[in-house]
Amino acid sequence: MACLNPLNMKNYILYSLPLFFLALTQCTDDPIPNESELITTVNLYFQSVDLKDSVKLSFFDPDGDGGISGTYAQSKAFLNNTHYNLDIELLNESETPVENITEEIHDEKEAHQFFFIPQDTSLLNFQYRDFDANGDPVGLKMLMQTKGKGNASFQLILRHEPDKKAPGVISGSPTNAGGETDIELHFSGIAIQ
Amino acid sequence: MKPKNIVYGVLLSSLLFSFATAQQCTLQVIWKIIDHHEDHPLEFATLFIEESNRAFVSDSSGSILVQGLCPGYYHIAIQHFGCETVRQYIEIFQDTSYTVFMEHHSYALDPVLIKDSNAKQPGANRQVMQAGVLRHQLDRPIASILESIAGVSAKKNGANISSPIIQGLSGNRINLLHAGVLHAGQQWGADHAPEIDPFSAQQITVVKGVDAIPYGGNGLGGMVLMEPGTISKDPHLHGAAQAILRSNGKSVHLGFKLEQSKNKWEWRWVGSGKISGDHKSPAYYLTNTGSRDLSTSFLANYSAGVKEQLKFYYAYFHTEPGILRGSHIGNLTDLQEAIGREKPFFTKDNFSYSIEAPKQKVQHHFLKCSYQAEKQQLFTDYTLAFQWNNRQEFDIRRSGRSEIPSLDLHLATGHLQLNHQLEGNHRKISFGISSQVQLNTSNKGTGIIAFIPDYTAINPGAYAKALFESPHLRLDIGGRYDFHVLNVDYIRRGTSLTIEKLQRSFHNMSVATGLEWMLSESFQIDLNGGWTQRAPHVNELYSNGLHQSVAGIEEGDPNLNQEASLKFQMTAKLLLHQWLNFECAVWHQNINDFIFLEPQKEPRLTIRGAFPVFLYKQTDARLLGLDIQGKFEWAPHWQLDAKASYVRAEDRSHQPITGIPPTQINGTLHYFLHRQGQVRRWDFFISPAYHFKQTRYAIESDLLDPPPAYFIMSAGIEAEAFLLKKHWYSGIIAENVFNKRYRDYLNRLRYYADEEGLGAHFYLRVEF
Repeated sequence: MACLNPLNMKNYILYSLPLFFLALTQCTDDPIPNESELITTVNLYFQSVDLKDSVKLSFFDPDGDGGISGTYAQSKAFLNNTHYNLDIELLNESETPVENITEEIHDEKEAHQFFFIPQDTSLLNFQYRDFDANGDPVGLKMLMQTKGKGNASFQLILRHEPDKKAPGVISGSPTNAGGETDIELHFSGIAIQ
Repeated sequence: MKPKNIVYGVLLSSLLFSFATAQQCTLQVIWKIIDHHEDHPLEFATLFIEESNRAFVSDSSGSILVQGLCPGYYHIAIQHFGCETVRQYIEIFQDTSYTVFMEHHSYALDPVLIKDSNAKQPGANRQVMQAGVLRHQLDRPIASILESIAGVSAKKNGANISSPIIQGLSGNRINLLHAGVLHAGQQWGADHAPEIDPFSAQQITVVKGVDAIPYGGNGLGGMVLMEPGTISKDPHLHGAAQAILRSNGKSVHLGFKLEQSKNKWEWRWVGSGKISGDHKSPAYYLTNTGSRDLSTSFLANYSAGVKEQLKFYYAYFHTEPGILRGSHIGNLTDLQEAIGREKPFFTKDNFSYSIEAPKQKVQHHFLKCSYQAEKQQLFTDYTLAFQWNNRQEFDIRRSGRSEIPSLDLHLATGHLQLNHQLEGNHRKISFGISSQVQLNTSNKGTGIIAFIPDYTAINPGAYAKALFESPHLRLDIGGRYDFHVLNVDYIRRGTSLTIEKLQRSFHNMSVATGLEWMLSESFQIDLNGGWTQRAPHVNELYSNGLHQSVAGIEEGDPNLNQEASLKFQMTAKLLLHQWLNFECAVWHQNINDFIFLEPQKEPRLTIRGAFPVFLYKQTDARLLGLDIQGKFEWAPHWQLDAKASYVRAEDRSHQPITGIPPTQINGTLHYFLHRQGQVRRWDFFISPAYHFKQTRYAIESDLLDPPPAYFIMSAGIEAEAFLLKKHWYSGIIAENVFNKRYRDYLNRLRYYADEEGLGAHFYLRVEF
């Protein structure tokens, strides 16, 4: 609660009239609110199916909707013509201890779906590896295939309460899905060697 | 006669006259029925005496002679075509005569000042609606009701949430006065509505010119005054019960009222509640658009002396409106997908009463105590008022958080007001001081940083006003000074959150003057002008973050200056006795440092994708407009009400300002039948309305082009009857009779869905 400075004489004069009202209120220390639902960090852990290669892509934006832009990172280049198992980790690092949002998505699989949309399907290809109780895709686990050398790009979307029965949604197109976007990121310049 | 005397009188009469009345039923009484505005006699007015169940009709001199009355007390009701029924409780112990002023032009009266008064006062730029005119729509939000006044529109977010726009301005730029006290709600958002139940008001007045001198506040012109009204001096318990049923939304609204004057006390209790489900457009259900409303109010007046009164008034308002499910969107991409769809996302195929997130839950408590005294020519009014407002908004959230509000604001307001009025010959001088303190805090457990910061605001002020009257002229002039201090706990985002204590203060000056000039009995010209300053509201200074309802990031500017407005209005009124009542107002307003939201070219990229960014900026604005309202009665049973309004608004560089109401033309054609039987009055009517397309807009500050022009019509039948010794009012009205698909420019849901389709509503009201 914002308080008036009791030492400021001007304020005394101002609230002399409605003193009766201020008597009803009490000033307490101002707690800094937390943003429990914020997602600050997206980590994409890739491991090749033969377990020989692992790559991490990440996005980090500590101030949420604030003015500081987030940063993208890639640990190393992907190998060409390789199948990778992808596991997604979502964190809220503005909280102490760090909050794991992945579990929230896991608990509400029916109400969530990830979409991976490669810009050039001749370089990258994604498939769902996990499904909800209705047999519809979720996308916390994916299979990615690298199909050509170069710099690839893809879009990552997480929709809350999508219509998974709408045309094209189970095959990975968000166009008719509706719902609210919880994550929308553009990973670009992904090196494939 | 004072209430106390009436009670003694009743006792005495029952004792002393109990045997005498049987023999002495020879009294005669003459009633003279006069048009309130023109002092002309009203022919064909009906006078109804409840005790004897007899009706009489006035002659061409407006007179009614009733003979053979027994001495005693009588409830009478007087009616005239298109007038609000006048009900009185009178004593008749000798031959006598009464004069009754009928309000024949229900939208042009001015009974509201700091002093409750039924004295005749011609109105400058004021438009009044009496409860009777509103009877069949008291289940609707107040702004939707006010739309029937020229120059007033409603800014909507679906059927349940709307706030008034008066001559192009809305939100914090207009003042709402509830029982003479500034209403202190959360009026800053596009999806916020005034927290007042129209059912508890007996009279609603709209002031379009500049006349806020006694009230202060931040209004730049327009005002809405909601009055609980006066309680009739009648020792019997009186009241009303009312039900309104609507087919669209399957809503049920129930309202009750009880009142009594006894000894030194008079009191009134009002309660109402409403439940509604999903509304329906012509082609589909508007899923999650139901609402739950509950409100009650209690008014008690105590007469301490001959001219001393203590007044107590409490009003509670609760609303829980659902928001169209398909209008709840995430980022810019979602918005683009949701806009312009044939059918909104999440549209269900069946009707439901259930309300889920997104929704709002708003509560408002209003408590007022006042002391009024009249000594010689000095009238004094001391008012103390408290208001508590809680606003909760619920969004679709993960992990059961939809049950936790995303926004939860508590606003407490204290108000002290000392008013004095000196009445002399042909002049009145009023002056006073006021002080308002506000504390706004947000619930820190929502998991989302509140869109507006916690603050305290202190606002002391003083005013003086003088009114001079001559037979043909009325001149009033007044000035006011307000000091605004705002202390804010601003949450700054960064790698971690920090709280900064910030303070801003403003000196607001305002002056206003009005001249009413009666050139002849039937022609009057009103001039009104004023200069007003408005301090920026906390959301304009310090809002920071995502505004879910607009899917945009809004950032305040802590360095904004006050707005300064200069407004002039000229109104010409033509009153031709019982034939034509025509009123035309031309107005012009310049607002320096007009605060607006400027869309930024670059969207902000967040983890949730891109969001449009809007910053609060200042420019100079110019608004001008024309309001026309008329009532035309060319034949005994016919009446045509018509109105039209036009507003043009542009900024310093002649670019149109967005969100201004488009030109509108509305009318209602009535056919009245008056009978002397049990059903005393019939009213058959049709109401066509044409709303033009808004052609003046800046597409970069909007999401979508304005919708095309549309024509809709409603029609209905209403009847009044006296049955079983009670007054009954009933009606059935069909809305959007052609089941037309259309969208309204001032409804935020126009981006996602059509307006409501065909619907019928039925009401029944009994007064006793």
